Amino acid sequence: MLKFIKKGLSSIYEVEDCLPSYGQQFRGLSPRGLMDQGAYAEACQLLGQHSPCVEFVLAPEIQFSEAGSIVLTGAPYGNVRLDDEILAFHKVYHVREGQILRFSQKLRGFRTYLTYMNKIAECASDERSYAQRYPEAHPQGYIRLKKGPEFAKLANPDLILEQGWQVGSQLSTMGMALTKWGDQLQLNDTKQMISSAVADGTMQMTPKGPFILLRHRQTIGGYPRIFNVISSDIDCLAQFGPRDFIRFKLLD
Amino acid sequence: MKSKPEYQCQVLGDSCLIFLFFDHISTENTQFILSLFRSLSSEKDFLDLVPAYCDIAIHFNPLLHTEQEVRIIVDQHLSKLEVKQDFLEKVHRLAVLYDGADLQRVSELTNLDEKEIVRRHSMVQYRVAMIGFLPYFPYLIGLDPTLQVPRLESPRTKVPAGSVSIAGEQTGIYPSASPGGWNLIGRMNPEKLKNLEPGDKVEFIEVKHEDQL
Repeated sequence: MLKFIKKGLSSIYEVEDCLPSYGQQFRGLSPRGLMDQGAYAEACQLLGQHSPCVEFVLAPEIQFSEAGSIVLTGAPYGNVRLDDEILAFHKVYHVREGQILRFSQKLRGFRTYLTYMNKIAECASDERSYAQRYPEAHPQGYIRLKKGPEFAKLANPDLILEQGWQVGSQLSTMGMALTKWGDQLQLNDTKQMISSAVADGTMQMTPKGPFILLRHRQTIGGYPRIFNVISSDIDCLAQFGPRDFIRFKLLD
Repeated sequence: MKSKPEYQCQVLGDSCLIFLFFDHISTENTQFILSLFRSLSSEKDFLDLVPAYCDIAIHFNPLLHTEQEVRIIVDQHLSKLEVKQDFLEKVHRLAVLYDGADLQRVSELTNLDEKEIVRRHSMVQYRVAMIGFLPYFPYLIGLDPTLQVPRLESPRTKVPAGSVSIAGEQTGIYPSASPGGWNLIGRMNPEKLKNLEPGDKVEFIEVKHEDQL
């Protein structure tokens, strides 16, 4: 139903690929799925059914090849136009064949979701603000961590709680590198560990520094698992882009 | 098992527990882990099981199960576990061209010449202990201890598909191109990895030409 005039940096997810799918990790296949499941769940609730979705970090330009309904969620843009009509996020719109959708002025966050179906949905909207949806991604918010199995190998674990951590340029659906000026996290035990399972949000201590595994990750790893982001904050990680500052809070 | 084996239960976030039984890699330990994996596979409550050399990870939905519930289920399986000493073993003979980019590095680290490295790598029989890291990536046990070398300081951004590699006491094969930090010593046809299962045996046959792969 979509024709890409400009691709931007976008990925189309068919409806069966949108949600994480479990049961294959022993073969090395991680659950995958869209990075911000909360943004997708909101869109599906507004549309009334699970639907295909476009996830993007750089806006595409899209022409609709048939009539249907769309919802925008995730990282908001200041100016979204369907032909001449200005669109809001978190609201169902009907589209006609041939109409063109354009985005400009990304306001905050990293990943945006265009969920669509070739049926006319009831008009619905969700009035919560961005800060209400992503309290942890707010400048004053925190990503919550638990200690990982190899936490004890860290010589200076308190450094993770300091300000100044930033998302590095190495960032994909598989994971995000973390960088910081000044003092660096150090291991007091550099003996290589025996490979073992990793999970969504596992923070590995690699030779280049800490690296958080995201939904399209590996299933087994060999670097020390120093922390793990809790499952309810994995969606928030999806909204951090390169050079964004990120703060952590350690749970007991 | 006569007595219930002891384990350490490690927490990985709020939706994964790792049951750690051993502190070293061995054939016996792998047999135990794979037996427990097969036993736990009958449980429908878990999202995923990931066996490894010394432990088994259980991914679960924290909204449906507590850590305590997961432990109780594992204890129930352990108390009636029979460790299979011999699996129905398939032996895979895989042709390898030993021309890896890190042969010289491995030679410097081990003080063995490249010919001797190839001889020691291809003379033993390996067992598939687990599959992971990438889809179909087999971790093989049985590496000659004199071939143990550390991972690369800085992982490669792209390791070619089919690369035969070593790191620590492990040897493995990259099924697809990916970033990776293991030492590359040779290459093979990656399509042949799709037939491997945990518990199978693997032998490497040295070939001299590309068309024999």
